[in-house]
Amino acid sequence: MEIVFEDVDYIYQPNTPLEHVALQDLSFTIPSQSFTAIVGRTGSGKSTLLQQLNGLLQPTSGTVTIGNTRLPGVKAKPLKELRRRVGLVFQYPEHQLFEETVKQELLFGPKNFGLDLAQLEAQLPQVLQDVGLDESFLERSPFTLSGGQMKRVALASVLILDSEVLVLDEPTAGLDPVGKKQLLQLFRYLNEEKGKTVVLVTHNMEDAMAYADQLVVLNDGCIDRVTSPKHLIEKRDQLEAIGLAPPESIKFVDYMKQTLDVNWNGHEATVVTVSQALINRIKAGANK
Amino acid sequence: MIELEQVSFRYQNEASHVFENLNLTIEQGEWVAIVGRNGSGKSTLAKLLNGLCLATSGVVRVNHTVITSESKHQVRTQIGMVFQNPENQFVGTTVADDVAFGLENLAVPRDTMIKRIDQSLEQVDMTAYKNHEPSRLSGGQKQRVALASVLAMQPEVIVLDEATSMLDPIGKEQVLSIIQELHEQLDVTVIMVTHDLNEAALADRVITLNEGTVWFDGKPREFLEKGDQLHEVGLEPPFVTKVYQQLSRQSITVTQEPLHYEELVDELWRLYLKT
Ligand SMILES: Nc1ncnc2c1ncn2[C@@H]1O[C@H](COP(=O)(O)OP(=O)(O)OP(=O)(O)O)[C@@H](O)[C@H]1O
Ligand SMILES: Nc1ncnc2c1ncn2[C@@H]1O[C@H](COP(=O)(O)OP(=O)(O)OP(=O)(O)O)[C@@H](O)[C@H]1O
Ligand SMILES: [Mg+2]
Ligand SMILES: [Mg+2]
Repeated sequence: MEIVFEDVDYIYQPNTPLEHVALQDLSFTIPSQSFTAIVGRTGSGKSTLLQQLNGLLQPTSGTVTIGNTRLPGVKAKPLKELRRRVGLVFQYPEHQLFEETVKQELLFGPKNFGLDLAQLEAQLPQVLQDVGLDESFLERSPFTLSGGQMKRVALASVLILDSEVLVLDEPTAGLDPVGKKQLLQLFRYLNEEKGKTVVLVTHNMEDAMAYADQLVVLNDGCIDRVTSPKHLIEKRDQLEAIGLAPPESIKFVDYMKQTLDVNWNGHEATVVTVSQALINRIKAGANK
Repeated sequence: MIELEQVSFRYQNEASHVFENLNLTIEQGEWVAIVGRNGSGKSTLAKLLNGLCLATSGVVRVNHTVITSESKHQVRTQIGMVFQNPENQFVGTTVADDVAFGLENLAVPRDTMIKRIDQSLEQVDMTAYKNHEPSRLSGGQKQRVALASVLAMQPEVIVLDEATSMLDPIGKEQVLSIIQELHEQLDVTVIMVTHDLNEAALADRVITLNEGTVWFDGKPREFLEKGDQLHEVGLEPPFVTKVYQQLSRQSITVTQEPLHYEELVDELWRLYLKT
């Protein structure tokens, strides 16, 4: 499902002393079936932007078109239909969870949208496994879980809806490194094999580079640029100004080029390529 | 100094223990990173240190005071904690009120209080949000305010439970340099829960929890030497560690396990390429 922003402004608490312009004049497109990462410093408007995608917040001016739904000004029924098609995972899982047990939590969305409960109930073990949890969690209260376990349940409660668009606000913050990798690979699978459009917020350029095909860079509520991860990395001297930093692998390569005069033909910076470049350099010896 | 002696802990109405007979000593002025997979007990350990969780058996001592339901309030004047979810610690209706709250409890005189509020908000770059409602901030701004509230109290011990998880890389760096300064200049004890092993490598000591037991306790270099074994406990070796492993396989080694890519590259230069 294609998503188009046209001249979108969003203002919190308009016409009060605390009025705050969080988004200003945004125009860009999220292509159908793309993997788009939204990046930008703390407070730049990323979460505000994401919440426009399922109508939780609606533009103060301008329009957001999601498939054939145009915001603002949508009635309750098509809005519910939109939320069925666009699943949103919040930055803090506590904002998402409210049921007494994990099982009820996972079945809340499906019940609300009138899906086949019997069939979904049979899928619960698989959904939990996808987020790295086992069946023993079904009867637990979501509020007695660890932070990372809660995040996983929040993710599962959206994944179970099998929506066309997945909107994920820092989905891997708080996950342990193994879990983080597992989930990023799951998002990639859903994008590549199941044709889901994935939109996620991240501060981690490593992840953005590895997984996203499009980057939307926000700065102080405005679009700084819409680009590809590769292009942004080529302009890495500009990253700091927007609150970001290059991935460790890229910093490594820059430092080794500068310090050891290593030959580097601009291949992808992986453990293998970086080690090989170092080995070749050392073999060439001091008087290269 | 913090001591845990034969500490067992079980959450109310739960069948199994999170910790059983855990022993741990943290010296004054140490900077300790706590790492481990989701659910391994990191936050529970943090909460045992400020009396939010009370040991089911065994004792937790902070500066020789045993933490009990009576002593915990007094202990909290010495230990400042930033929670994993900063929203759990907001009490004020404005950012400034929120920072003030902790100071009122410490009975800090009014003019000192005002100074400390301004100073700590400045440190975390949130001065412009002084009169905003904490609940209406962005995710990362909430974390900054939670940190400011703790900094303002100038505690002897700071416990940070994934306190930088929502910050951008520049913000993370700022916070780490604040911590570094407190640690070096004021000898503050820092206990930092994190999933970022590059961050953990900055500490004096790394404790790895696994299912409520201490899987590793030692220096960051020894910790990184574990390499692929880290996967067993839900962790992933940092990029520099993986590159170093690869080099070692080709018999290219340096004198000690590198903590950082600059260290590795500089050592390679010194040992193999310098004329
Ligand atoms: N409910 C609200 N009421 C008023 N202002 C808000 C509200 N939520 C966010 N803001 C403000 O709007 C701006 C954008 O916030 P947003 O949450 O979109 O940022 P973000 O890019 O997601 O940041 P982070 O990376 O810290 O999560 C911030 O300056 C924030 O203070
Ligand atoms: N209030 C609670 N009641 C019952 N069990 C709990 C409660 N809080 C945590 N637990 C359980 O105790 C164990 C340890 O949780 P803890 O929050 O200490 O983990 P953690 O290491 O901080 O994990 P994370 O990285 O996900 O934050 C987990 O199995 C968790 O499910
Ligand atoms: Mg946000
Ligand atoms: Mg925790």
